[in-house]
Amino acid sequence: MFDQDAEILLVEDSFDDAAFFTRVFNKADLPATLHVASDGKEALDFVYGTGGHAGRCAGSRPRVIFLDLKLPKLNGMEVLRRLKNDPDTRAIPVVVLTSSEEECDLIESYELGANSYLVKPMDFDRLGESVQRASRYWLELNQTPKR
Amino acid sequence: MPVFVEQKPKVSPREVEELKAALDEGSVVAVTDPLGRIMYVNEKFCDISGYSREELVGREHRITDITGRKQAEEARRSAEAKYRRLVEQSLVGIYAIQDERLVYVNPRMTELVGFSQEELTSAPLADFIVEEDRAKVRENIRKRLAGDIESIRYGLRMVRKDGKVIHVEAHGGLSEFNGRPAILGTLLDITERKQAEEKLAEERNLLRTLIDSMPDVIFTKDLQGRLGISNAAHVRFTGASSEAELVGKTAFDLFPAEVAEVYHRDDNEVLTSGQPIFDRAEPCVTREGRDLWLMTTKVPLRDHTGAITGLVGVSRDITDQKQAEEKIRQLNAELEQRVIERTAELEAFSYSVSHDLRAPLRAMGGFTRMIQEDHGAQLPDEVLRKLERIHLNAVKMGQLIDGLLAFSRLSRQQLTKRTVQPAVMVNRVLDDLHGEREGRNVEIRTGDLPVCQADPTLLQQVFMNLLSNALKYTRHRDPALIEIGSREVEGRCVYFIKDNGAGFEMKYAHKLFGVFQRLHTDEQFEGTGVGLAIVQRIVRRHGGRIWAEGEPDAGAAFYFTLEGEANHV
Repeated sequence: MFDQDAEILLVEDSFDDAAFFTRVFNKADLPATLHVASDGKEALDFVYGTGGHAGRCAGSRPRVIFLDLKLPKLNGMEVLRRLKNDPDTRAIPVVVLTSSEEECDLIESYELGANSYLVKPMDFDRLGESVQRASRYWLELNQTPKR
Repeated sequence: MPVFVEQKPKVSPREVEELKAALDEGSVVAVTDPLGRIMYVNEKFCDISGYSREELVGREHRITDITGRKQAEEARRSAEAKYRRLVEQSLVGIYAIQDERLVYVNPRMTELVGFSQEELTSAPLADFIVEEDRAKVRENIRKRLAGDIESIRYGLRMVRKDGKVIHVEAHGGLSEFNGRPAILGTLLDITERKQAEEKLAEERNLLRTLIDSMPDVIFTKDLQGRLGISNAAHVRFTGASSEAELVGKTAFDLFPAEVAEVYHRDDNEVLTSGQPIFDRAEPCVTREGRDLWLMTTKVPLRDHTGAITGLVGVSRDITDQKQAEEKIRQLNAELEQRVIERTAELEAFSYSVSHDLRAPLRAMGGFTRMIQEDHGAQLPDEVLRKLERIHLNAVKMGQLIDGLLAFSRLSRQQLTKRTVQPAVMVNRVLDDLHGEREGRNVEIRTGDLPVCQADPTLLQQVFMNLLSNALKYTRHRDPALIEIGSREVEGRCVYFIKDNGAGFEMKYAHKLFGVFQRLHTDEQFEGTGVGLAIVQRIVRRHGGRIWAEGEPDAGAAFYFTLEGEANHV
């Protein structure tokens, strides 16, 4: 069973990719709200309720974060490092969602504490499938500690 | 005949003295008293009687025996014969000179110069002497005759009867011959010795010229490390003005202490062990502080008994060579650095390709799909078909980019060789390719696949690419035949994968392994043209070789080795 007010954060600087993600996410009709941050700084602001997201209830943590690696301002690795170094945010599942199949990115991501690593499929149909399956898993199957 | 004079008492002593003096000049004389006792004898009397004056005076002259005198004469005659024989048989030439002529020559003399005794004694001495030496000979004879010197020993050249010049050494002194002053001497033929000396001098000169014309430094040292011979290069190298200046000097006189210390140690090593040092490269600092590199060889010198008496050293200035080596080393380091930088650039490039090129492609494909989904109902079929083409091309380009990235990743990937079993690998790959075989009649024959040393992940990729190709290109065969096996060629294991598929024309065989090179259209057989390029790169990185044989519509065969070719890509 899942919370009706569950939030999912997508950190994605590509407007197009964000649009595709949103489209397939909405199509899947998942019981959660999708938020999109277009750079690393905004992602942290969303999580901590600071900056442009000041006033957002700091108590509500996203159920899962889909994180692109190549981001303006603060790149994905740095966002990952900060979240996983903070005991308050460490338990938030972070799914790296990237175009990179580079071994070094995989290794670094897991070293920093990523919970999953997905390569964005080139094909739109497969991308949709991946997003839906992953979201469903993290929302419906995965358990995280209640804070 | 002896004359006996009876002394008269009245004769005064003075008269006696005068008489004595007079008698001494003449024949054999003895003076007796009236009783016949000898009062005086002259020298001749002593000589002939063989007695001394003391023995004779006071004795009865009649009992005087002359046996002694006869014996002496006999002895003298015998000695003379003996000496004559010696002279006649002597191995050295013996001569007598009077009035600048040879007045006596022994047989050996005649042999030496080839003239007879008559010829030698009948012509002036100068005739037998080389013109240049005549003045010297004349002067030497004069000096001896004048009593300036007692004897002399010197070399001169004589002309033989046959015209040949011979070197002789004369040793002569003043003497008497036939009662007159003469030069009596011996003569030795030293032509051979002279020739040997000349030959030795020539050899020495040759060696000297040789070592002096060598660009390498050559020197000898004694057991105490003192210099003996130095060639011109060594004189130049040390800055000395001549070889003589260096004789007796040690390394400590010529080089800074720390350098000399090293040379001294090397010298001792050679002198005590008797083992040469070959081509030892050593840094050197001259007294002027110039830094050099020398390549030195030191070999022990031994006398005829084999005892070490010193050493010979040969040093070559390899400073230029060393500097060139250093330069090459630096260049290599720079090159290495540049390769690292370029590789990093390339990695950055493929990284950005993987990220930045994919996103717009995904967008093209994605938006096309969105139009199809959202507006498909309102669009004419023709537009929908074209949209589908856009979508397929975007997907295709994505695959090409993926292939290119996979190919470029391969060269950066570490190669870790282990013992692998290709047979197990092939079975795993065939399992993975199960989907490709479904619903088809495919006969797969697997032969002997020996164990080898390879990177398991990469070798599996090779079998995967080759077997999926074989399955793809036999798609229209019933049955499809695929044979996997190996054979030994020139001691190397050659693996092969053969099929009865579409095959290819041998004239295009070289194109098979190029990136994006395809021999079929996508409509015939889909593909990116990267698979075989990847296979070739993996095989080459293992040090192996890959080649293919084929015939259109009759199948293809791919062969590869994993070792033995020194072709690393």
